[in-house]
Amino acid sequence: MIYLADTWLGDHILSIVIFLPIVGAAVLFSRTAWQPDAIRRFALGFSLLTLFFALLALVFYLAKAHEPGIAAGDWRLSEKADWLVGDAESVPLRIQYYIGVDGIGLPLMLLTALLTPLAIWGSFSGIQERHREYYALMLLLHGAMLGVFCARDLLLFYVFFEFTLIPLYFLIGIWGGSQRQKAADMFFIYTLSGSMLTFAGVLYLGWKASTIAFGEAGVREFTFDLDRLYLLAAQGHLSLDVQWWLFVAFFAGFAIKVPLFPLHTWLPLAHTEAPTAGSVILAAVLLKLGTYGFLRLSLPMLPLAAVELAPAIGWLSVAGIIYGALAAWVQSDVKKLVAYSSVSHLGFCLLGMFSLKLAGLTGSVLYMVNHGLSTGALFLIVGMIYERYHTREIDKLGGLARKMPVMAFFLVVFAFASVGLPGLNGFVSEFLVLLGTFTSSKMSNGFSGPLGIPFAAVAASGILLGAIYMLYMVASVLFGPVKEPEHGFDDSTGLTQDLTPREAGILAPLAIACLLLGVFPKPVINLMEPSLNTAVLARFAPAGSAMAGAAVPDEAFAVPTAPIGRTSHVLRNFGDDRGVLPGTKDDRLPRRATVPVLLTDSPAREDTGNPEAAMEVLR
Amino acid sequence: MIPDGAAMLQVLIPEIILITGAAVILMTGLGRTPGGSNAASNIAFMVLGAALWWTLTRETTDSAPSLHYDTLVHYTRVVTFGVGFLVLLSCRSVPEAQERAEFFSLLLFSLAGISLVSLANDLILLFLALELVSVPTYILIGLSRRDLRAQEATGKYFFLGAFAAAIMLYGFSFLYGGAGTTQLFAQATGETSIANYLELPSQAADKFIILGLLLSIGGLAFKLAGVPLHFYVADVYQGAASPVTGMLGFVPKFAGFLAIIRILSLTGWNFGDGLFWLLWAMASLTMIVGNTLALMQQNVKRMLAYSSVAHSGYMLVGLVAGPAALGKNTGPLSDGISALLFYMAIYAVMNLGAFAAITYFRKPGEDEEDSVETLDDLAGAGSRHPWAALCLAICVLSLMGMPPTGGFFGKLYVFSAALSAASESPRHGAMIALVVIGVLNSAVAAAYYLRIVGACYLRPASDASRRVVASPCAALKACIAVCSIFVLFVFARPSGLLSKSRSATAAPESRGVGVSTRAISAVERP
Repeated sequence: MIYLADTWLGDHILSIVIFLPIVGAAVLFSRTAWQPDAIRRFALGFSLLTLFFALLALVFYLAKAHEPGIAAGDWRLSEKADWLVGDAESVPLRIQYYIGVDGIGLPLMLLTALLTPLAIWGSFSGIQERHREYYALMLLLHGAMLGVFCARDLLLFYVFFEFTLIPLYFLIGIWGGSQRQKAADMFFIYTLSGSMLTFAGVLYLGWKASTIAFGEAGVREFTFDLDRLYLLAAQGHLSLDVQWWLFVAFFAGFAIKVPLFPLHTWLPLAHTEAPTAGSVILAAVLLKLGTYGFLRLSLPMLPLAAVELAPAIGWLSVAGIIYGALAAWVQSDVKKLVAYSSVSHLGFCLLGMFSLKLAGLTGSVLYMVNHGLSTGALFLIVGMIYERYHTREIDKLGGLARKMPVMAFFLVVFAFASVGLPGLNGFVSEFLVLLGTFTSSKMSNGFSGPLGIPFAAVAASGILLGAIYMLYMVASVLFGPVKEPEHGFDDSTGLTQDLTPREAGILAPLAIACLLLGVFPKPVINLMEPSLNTAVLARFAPAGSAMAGAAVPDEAFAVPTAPIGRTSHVLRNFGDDRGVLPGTKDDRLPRRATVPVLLTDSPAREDTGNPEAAMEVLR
Repeated sequence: MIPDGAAMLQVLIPEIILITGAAVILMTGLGRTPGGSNAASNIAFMVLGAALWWTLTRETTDSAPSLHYDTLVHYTRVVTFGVGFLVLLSCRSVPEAQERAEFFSLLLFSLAGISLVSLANDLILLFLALELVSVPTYILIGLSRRDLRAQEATGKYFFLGAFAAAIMLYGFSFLYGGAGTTQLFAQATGETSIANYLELPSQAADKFIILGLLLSIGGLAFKLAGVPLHFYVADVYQGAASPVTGMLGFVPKFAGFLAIIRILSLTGWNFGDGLFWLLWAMASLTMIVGNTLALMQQNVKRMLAYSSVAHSGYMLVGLVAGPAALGKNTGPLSDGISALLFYMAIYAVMNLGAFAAITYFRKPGEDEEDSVETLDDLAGAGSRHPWAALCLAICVLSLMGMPPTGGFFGKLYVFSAALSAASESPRHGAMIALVVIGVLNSAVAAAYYLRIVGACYLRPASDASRRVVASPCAALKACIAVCSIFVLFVFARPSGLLSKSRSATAAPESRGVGVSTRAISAVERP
């Protein structure tokens, strides 16, 4: 299959991935005569086809690693076409359709491609009206989300980013719960007000780029090409003052999307009112658009401001971690509990990101994927319970493990994944995030990060709270005496008491992914690290330092496919370590003290910091 | 050397075609047969087509006294005639059988007026052209509906319009009094003109000249529904039949903006503090007041009426930014005037599309006019009339400025022009603040636009909306479809319209707007 990478298919694979669902949506919308069954099959088929092409893109991506001139952290599978150009004047206008993926976008693209078919499959029993519009909107949303993760042009990014609002508005507003219209309006207007400020920032950057001549030829262009915009700050064209304001403009859009405390107030309502698939997509992918925006745009384009404002964002993240966890604890509605847990979890994600250390950044991207898998699955399970009992109240449910053993199994797995039990995916990312945060202020490669031990210490307590509310929920819903709402289990939709094979089939791939990423995260981490080095960290290293030189990572990274022989330096020996790790959190970290020995084999990799300092604190 | 009169005629051929056609329709009284023949409308189509064909195929470079032809005129003609087609389509079934001749001929007069506004190089001609635009619209409102509200709207619009015209004329008289000539721009060296007169800083600061400019702008604010002269908008828009309302969002507004561009060109876009802050306040207030009032409306037509006020505000942002020629760092998206023109074209189409879609829904039996006006009437339209509701949603999302619609690029151009003007301007902070006000207003506007989309898709059909039936008029359907496809097309391929709007102000022969040459000559003077 690899030989296809050099054909037309290889050149356009990402466009196919992005636009296939959109084409599917258009076809579906026009088929007014189709029966619900045909519509469901069509939608599922198209989303699976998209998944197939996304996997093909992964294969091509890996195959391209062997091509000469491609470094490990580079963008690959790029595609460029003119969208809006004007050459009439001295400064040409060049707004492009410019897409590509690197090690940051690819895992998120795959996450999207995997989750959407499952969410569509999961809607088969829950959606009972207006099938055609529902599945068309799901496919439309699918395409838009994939587009965000592939965009290499700031305006294109913004277009996809903004467009995701429209399908989700309808999904929440039409198929949501009793307060759906309020929730949809609030979601739309809240996020739009933030992203309109981002729009002003986007325009400012485009204009700024047009005033500066780049390259040897000294060409000035009005463009939103990210390759160019990254250079603005790198070449010193953006003062700290300007960067500060731009950062605030971008922050307005992304922090609301994440959502970062205290801008999260739209989230619980949107989540509780959205249909199951809407919640799944919202939590698993759409929130990641915010974190991805920070990572892809704010950090590399505005490094000075990022360092300057990181402590503030760090404290907000920490506050969100604690607040989200406490708020989740007191919820009586399972879905709301999971929604608040997202607020808490995404605080970790941002904390790791703004530690500006490789460990923290890797953990952050991994966290996006892991949170998508486990929280998406939790929302699916909540939806499955709701379809049977028409309630999500914790008080009204109990002992379901006896009635629904298969469901109980999955719920326990995903709750543990979400809590961060070693062996499941949540642990890896949580650990890396905390490691990055602990060591953030350590000097490495002439750069010391803005966060430090106090942030990590408070955040670590959030893990404990996370375990409390999640286990409390699992315990009261699954165990104890059987408690069901009076009307009992509703079989009118053709569901069985325990999960149907379809439902188990939806959850099984997610559970396998959680397990795989938990015990064997190296391939994914190997995929991410070189790109994080090139795309993000290199922008923070002072000129002339080892890191700045290492913007093109050393050749060891050039073959991320090369299995595991080349392990990630952070998680080397991770697998070995795992066996002896006890399940409790308190003694988890000290045992990781075996790691530092392995961290120093290359100067370019020192920036994970010296975890020994962190270890000492823990002891 | 062509004699002046002949040259003048040559420049004016598209307008002559329109006015002749209009006169023929009016005098022969076409379409007055009881069956409601479409002859008047068909002839109007042909006349407009001929004018557009002439505009697109002939390269006119001649000028004549009192007229000046530049790329702005060309752009105006193309946009006016193009949108004119859509207006004709949407109005095809509107007027009573007895009045079809009057209706379509007045429409053509009005369209001819717009392109005369851009051609005028003389205060008196400018005023006459503006009245040629306005007077037919007063009558069109009354003709469009047999309803007391339409008569009220006509009366209100007429008296307030006449009042505003008087203010404007008063301002013109000050300009004439100061400069001693009614000619706007000199066409040959040595000619006297108001623009030449204003080049001297001492005269530009003359109180009477400033008063003249202020009064002219004030009077024109009525045409473009800018705050504080926006009060009539809701009543007039609600009173007129929906397709005529869609036309009202384009015809007077475009004419007003063209006139204001010409008037401000007199100053060389070198605003004093007073003029700058006046325009700044007008732009920001127009956005804020328009959106705030729209938020409070339940009636769709009133809501869109106030939204049209808000859109004037966005276009005024482009006006405040001014043409790019002033700046040193001229970027491709930094020309506020061409941003305004670009936005105007897109706004005209999306607004017309929204009103045409509202026209499409009819409620027979309610009253004679059977038009749909409240959100209740639209409830559940998404499932009852899927295609019309989809088109309405596309147009409304475009008004909101969401991708993937043309409205997104309109906002992009306007705000980007304002940002790049900010960097050159001594009033840096004010320009940035204007952009921030603008983008926040776009978010606020989403709240009421969403109500329209929400009514169509999110609400179940109500008792009121079950009585709604689709209009049988094929022309109306075509209009709705063309508007929504255009809006999507501009998003996918904006280059064509963008380069047209840029060349409208950027070409060297554009004397009215391209002020770079004037700015230099002003420097050279001692």
